Amino acid sequence: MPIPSFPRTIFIRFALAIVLSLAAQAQDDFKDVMSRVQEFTLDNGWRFIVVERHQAPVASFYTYADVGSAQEVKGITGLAHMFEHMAFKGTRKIGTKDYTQEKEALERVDRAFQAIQAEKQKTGGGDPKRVQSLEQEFKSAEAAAGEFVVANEFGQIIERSGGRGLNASTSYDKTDYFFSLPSNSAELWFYLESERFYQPVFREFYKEAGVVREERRMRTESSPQGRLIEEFTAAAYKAHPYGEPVVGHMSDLESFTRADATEFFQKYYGPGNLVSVIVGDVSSAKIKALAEKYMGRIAARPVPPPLRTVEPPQTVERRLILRGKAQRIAYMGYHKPSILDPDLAVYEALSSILSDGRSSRLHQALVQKQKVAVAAAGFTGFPGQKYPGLFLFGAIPSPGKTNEDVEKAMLGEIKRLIDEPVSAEELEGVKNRARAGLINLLGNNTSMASQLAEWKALTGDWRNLFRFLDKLNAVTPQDVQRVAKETFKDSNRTVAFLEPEGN
Amino acid sequence: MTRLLALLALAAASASAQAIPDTYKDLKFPPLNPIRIPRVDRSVLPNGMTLFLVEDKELPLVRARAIIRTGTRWEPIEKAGLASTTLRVMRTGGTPQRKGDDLDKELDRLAASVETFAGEDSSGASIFVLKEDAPKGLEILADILRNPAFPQDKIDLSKTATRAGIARRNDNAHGIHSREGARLLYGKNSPYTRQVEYATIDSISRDDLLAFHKQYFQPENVILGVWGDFDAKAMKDLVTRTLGAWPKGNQPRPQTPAVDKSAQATGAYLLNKDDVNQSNISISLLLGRRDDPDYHAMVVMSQILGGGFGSRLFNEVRTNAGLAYGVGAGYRAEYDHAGYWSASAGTKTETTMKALEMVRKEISKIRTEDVTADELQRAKDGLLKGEAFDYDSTSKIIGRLMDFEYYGYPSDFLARFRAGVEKVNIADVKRVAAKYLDESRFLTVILGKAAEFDKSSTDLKLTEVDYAIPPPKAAAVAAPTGETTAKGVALLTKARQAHGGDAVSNLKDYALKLDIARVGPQGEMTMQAEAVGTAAGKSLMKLVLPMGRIEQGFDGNIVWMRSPQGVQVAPAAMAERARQSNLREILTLLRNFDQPGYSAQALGASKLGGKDVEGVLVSNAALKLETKLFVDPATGLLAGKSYMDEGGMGSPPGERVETFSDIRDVQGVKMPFLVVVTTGGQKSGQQTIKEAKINQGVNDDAFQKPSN
Repeated sequence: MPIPSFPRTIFIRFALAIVLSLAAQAQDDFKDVMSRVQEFTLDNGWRFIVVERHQAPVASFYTYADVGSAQEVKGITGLAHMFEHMAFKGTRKIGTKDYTQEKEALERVDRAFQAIQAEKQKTGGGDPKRVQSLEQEFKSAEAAAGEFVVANEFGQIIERSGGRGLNASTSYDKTDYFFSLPSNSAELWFYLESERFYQPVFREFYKEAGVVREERRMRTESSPQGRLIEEFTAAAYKAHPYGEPVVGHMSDLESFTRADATEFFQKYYGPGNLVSVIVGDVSSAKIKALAEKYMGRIAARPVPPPLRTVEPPQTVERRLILRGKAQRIAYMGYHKPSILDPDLAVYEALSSILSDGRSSRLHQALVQKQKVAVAAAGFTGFPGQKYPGLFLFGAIPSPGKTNEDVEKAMLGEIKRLIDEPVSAEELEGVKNRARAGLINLLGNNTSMASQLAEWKALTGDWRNLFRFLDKLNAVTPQDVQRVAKETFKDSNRTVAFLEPEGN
Repeated sequence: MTRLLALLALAAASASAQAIPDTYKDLKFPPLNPIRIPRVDRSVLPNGMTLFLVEDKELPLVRARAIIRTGTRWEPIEKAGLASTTLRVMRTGGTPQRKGDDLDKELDRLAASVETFAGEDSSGASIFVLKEDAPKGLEILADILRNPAFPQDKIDLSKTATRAGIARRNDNAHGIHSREGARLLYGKNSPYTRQVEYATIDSISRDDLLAFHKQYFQPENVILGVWGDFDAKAMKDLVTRTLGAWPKGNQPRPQTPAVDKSAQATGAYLLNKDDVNQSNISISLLLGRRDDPDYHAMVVMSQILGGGFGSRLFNEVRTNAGLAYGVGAGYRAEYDHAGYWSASAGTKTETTMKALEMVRKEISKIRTEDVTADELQRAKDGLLKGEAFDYDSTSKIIGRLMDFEYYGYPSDFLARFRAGVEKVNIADVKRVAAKYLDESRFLTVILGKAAEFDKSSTDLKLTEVDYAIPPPKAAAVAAPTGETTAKGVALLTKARQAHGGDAVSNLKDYALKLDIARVGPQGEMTMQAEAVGTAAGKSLMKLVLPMGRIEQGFDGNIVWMRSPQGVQVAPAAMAERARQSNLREILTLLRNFDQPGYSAQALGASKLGGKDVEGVLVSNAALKLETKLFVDPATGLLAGKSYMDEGGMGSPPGERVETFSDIRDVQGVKMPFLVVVTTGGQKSGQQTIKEAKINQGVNDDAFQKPSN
């Protein structure tokens, strides 16, 4: 027997003491804030969470729509994001000089657009002269509709009321809308947000599609790094919509219609598909009354059915190289389960051990010791968490080093995770950082709102944000080793390299 | 009865419907709860450090931020990168007491961070700790500010990261546009556009870091702010014990460098990039500071023109024309030197000029026509109504006061700014637009694929700017002396003799059959090749590749290529590479090293592939030639050579080293039959000669571009 059992027992006691002390601390730290979280659901299904935080007379408002690009099918890719843009275009009451007349004018624009599409879809691309005259009609219809528009009124109301941080975002999983207001004008948010999802008007639709096409050019087409991500994701998913770009394909951005957007809205923006969170200097009771008054006027709609397609297990390694005018980058992704998986915390521990801080394994191995990379990380959450996503590794090779060099080094670190248990010290760091991160989150109204909304929407209970710390505290080195072994298999891997042109 | 109930229900329904006003304008809001401003405790410690403290017990955290009076604007231009290297290695290298790697481990385990970083106007440090770790955080910060160890391995690591940044700085279109735009605006030699190059980062030594540290890191140059869950008195004691123990440095206070406004370029410039389908456009000019009397009016004018939803540019270029995703205008005034005003937009290649002209039209309009009262009010509301957000976090409140302190602004500057904005009227807006947006001083910068721009209606003349990354230079060599030159010439004379003497000088042409192996991402790939060339520098290479034969010729002026797809002329840069490559040929160098214009300087003994060698640097400034030859002192034969390659065509920039072996006699000339190439220390290829002939008499026609 080379090692007596004594130190082992001490070690276990020590580890246990850490876990217990952390568990006790976690309760102390978060009991107060958890007691300040109130939630309610309107009869129409719209869910609300309110956190009173009276540090300053401001409040953040955050709406999570449980719809992202994963709800799109071919032909309407990019529509979830397009809808996000349309949600700033106003309603029957906001952004118009005369909605009755505008409605007619907008229908004329739709007819003109469809006529162009129909002509272009004819065999041989249609009659160019006819296309030209239809385009003339389209332009004049657009101009006529434009006469009724009060440009960007929705956004201006917020800015003129002292609003800050007005924005929205679309991802594979969700679309979110947020801004902050001086807390006395909270009712303005209820007015605007309920209007936005009660009777929105998709005005300036085809012009805004042009703006979105510029966004695609900026983020993807004119950026080798953006193109790499798009190609990588497409390679990693062959069935599930996570493989389609959030911003959409150019041909869809050129051809989807206002009717497509209306259908999308009807299907995915029913109140039962929304979660709103308000954090700040507000009273929960008043918030509930305002929600009932404003959001309560929207009729319930059926909640959209779940997505059918499940990504089949990957059985073949997939590799791709994109050559562009840019320096090397390497990505490597392994399929992993969704946020609902019991091993969620183990994946977080893996990611934190690999990537958090200069003492993390990838930084130590690739940047400091082997000097093959100037940056390296491995993390979860991409493309999303609602459906099975990826454990994604990324590295930027040092000058003179290749993507193969960094891939080899990353695989070396993966092998180490499979071959040896991680140390107790490393896990202790993971747990401490998660706790500090959560404490820090509580000092920011908007971040707190978005986290509570996300956990509520994806797991059914905001408390899971805090419970996650307990789950993390329970993770053992054996868990990490087991999950690494299950996940990091060659056949479960997609590798993408950006190589400078000419290589 | 039922009718009555129905009526009541209807009344109730309409009452509740009426409860929602028809327009948001009818909403009535209660007064805002009072904005609470925490007590800020300012003091100056006996060693000259300024300290701000704010108690904030909401969360069990302590944070700190330090502003340090040093930054890139004070680093010498030839050592650009010194400030960031110093600040980075202060933290990563740690101190004699606390090694950097140990700090990394300890802080990561405690979920804490202590960081130092360089900026332009100033540099900074930060602490984030759970409250119980506050003493540790401050002790660490005091130690790394006072006693950085600057270990060489961390300096090297930092320089590698910087070089990677240089190599990657043209990877992103927006990055190129803003960088080159700033250089045109402030001038390339301005302290406000310090640009790190391979040459500047290579020239930075540990002594430079030590000197930079000594000059700027002293308590008199530090403003420290600490906020979080502590008792102010206890925290002041803690800071006094740690950073307060730092003795005065007594170095002069750094003076703010001025901006030379005459260095600003005017007119229109092109950053040509053929792999993008969206152009980045900007119009800008150098302007003033935040304490200028017209600052408020300029901010309001810029807000009307291009700030936020509902600005003119947003409404016209984005919403109405659908021409851009990103579009706007803003005034970035600085605190203590000239800032700039700019308008910008991103639009597809084929609407570049159209979007530019729309932006110009809006600028011209605001210079000549009054804005509306509603536009003025929109701008003021946007700037002033969210006052509560100026005080919604302790870090904002303390950070702002520290900034004002650093730049010597009054502590109530924010209130003065608000009052100034309030006073701006319609006439002011037109006046400042007309006064400052002087079209003759505009700098227009467009990044995009110029060949596909739409036509400019004003016949805009674009001056192309070269934004290529200057390649790394050969490692600095001590200035030549009579002694090293004599030794260099002697070594190469011996080498020329060893390689064939007159046979080298009389070489006319050569014909080789060889295998070329290249180590690339797909592994090693070997090609068969035939090479023919003349002493005058013309060459022809035939390659046998899986997809067919490829010929590449250089007739002295152009490089052409013939493949199964036809004949093409290569870009001019390729011809320059071919010329350089020929000048670097060892037999060419052995023939030329003692010709006028050349210098041969001995570099001393070194090792190459485990062998003892003597290095000689052969250079010719007019030909931009610098190549090191390595002579085997025993035989006089060349053992290898090295040179800096600017990269491109898929190879990274860096030092290429060729190691020679299997040296054989070819009609009286000794040639290496095996050449192994490494780039940046990694093997990148090799050449094996299978058959070699010289002086066969080659017809010059062989090098001319074929017609098909």
